[in-house]
Amino acid sequence: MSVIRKYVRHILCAIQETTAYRSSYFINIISQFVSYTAIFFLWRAVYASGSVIGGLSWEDMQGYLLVSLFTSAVISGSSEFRVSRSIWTGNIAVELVRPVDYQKANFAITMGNGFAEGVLVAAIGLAFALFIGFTAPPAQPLTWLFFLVALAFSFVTKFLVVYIFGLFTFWTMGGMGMSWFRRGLTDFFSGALIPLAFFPGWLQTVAAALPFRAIVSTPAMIFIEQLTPSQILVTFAVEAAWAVGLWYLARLVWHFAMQKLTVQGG
Amino acid sequence: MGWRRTLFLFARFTAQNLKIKLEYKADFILMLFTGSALQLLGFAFLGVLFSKIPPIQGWTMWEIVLILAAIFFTEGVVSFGFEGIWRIIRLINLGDFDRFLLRPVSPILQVITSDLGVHGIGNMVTGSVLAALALSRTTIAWTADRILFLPVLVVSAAAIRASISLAANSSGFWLTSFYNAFPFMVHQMADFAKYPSTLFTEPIRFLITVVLPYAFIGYIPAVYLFAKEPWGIAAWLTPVVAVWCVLLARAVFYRGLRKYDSPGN
Repeated sequence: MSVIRKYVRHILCAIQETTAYRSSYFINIISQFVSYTAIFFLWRAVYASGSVIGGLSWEDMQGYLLVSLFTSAVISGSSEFRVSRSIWTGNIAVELVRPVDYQKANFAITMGNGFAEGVLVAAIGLAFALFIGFTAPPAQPLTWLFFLVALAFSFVTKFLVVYIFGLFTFWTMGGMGMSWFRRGLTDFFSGALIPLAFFPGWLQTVAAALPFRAIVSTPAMIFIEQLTPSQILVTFAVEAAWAVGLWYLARLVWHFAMQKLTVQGG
Repeated sequence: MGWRRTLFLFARFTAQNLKIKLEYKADFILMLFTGSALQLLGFAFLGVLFSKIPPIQGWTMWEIVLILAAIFFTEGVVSFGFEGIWRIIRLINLGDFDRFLLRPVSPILQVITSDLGVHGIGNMVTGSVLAALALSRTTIAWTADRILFLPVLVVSAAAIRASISLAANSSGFWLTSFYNAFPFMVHQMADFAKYPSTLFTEPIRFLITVVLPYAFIGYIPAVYLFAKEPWGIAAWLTPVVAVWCVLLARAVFYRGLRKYDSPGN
């Protein structure tokens, strides 16, 4: 029990931390908002010439973009650089001394940030929905249930991907490049910029074989009711397997990192 | 300090930075690669998009790719030669800025050359390759004025980009928080300049044409080169806009510098 309490403490601290530094988080959210506004207008122009593209109507596309904005914004800002920053600054040395599991502690902190940020992001999402004139949220309660589960998978998958890429800082010592690369990779293969259904066949196969689609595509497609319940359950099973796999992959990367740890002062 | 000496010092500082970066070979190669990989994904996005749809508002895919290439290439130039701009906030916060003020060289020059982004090389390469592909797949009436004006456009575009970043990062003199995200926000606005401005509403077009003139980097020159609209001739204003941006950014920087108060070192 006390083991759990340790991590709950982390969650609570992270919530406080996020609310204390909200101005920087707020500006981060605004820049997400800018990207999505640009993409929104691009799609609006695209849909001006056709009513259904890749099986999605303009209303579907609006719902898709809304979920994409929401899921992309929840883990950003504070969580993105936590691991790499502590490696650059040498604070990792202090983290290692603490009687907690680094990976679990990070997950707890990200969860805390996520809760605090989630409220803000929801508000921004609502503003975005009003801005784009989106008025067709799903009516089925079951859809909302599936959507919430999909959001949980989205959160866990994104945390693990961000965390693993953060650990690569042990080898590269420069965090930005890795972070951009991660962002490009996840934005593209999660379907954040363009729905996976628009991809050519071979690229769809690649995307389906990667874990990233759990981050945006699955919750978004569930939200706009493009997946059948059986498709959803199969997807969830695959995503659960990926989550477990990535969790242990992170452990493995950590294991190798510990063997070549360089602490730059501290 | 004369402009020749400034250019000489700029080249020397950049060469030194490159040597520093080459010391970390793994990181160097990785950064080269990540720079290009990200841009290629942006290109892949357009590729996938246009595989499903006809031209957008009369713009074909390769015409938009040229705008995108201009954004990528100038971003590369700025990352390569002016990456230090992004260190202003850290320098101010940690008090490292003090030593720049003690040396008999322009503090702006020292700031912009205080770092070098290796990914800039990747961005420049990808930008050039995409631009070459775009030019080979579009039709431009290559009149003498267009050929002669092209290098001017490229230099001006890079100057606009660097100046906007410098001015935005100079906000660090006033907003002293270590996590000042304002410059990133300004940087992000360039997203609106990756596509033809006519896609956007009036306030956004005003923003990227007048307030933060990113439209002069790719879109307006593209309208001119492809002779899309009669007003494309406005592209001739690009060097004027560039000079205006440089002067303004310089003024903002020095205005901020007057406010600078060392946090101790």
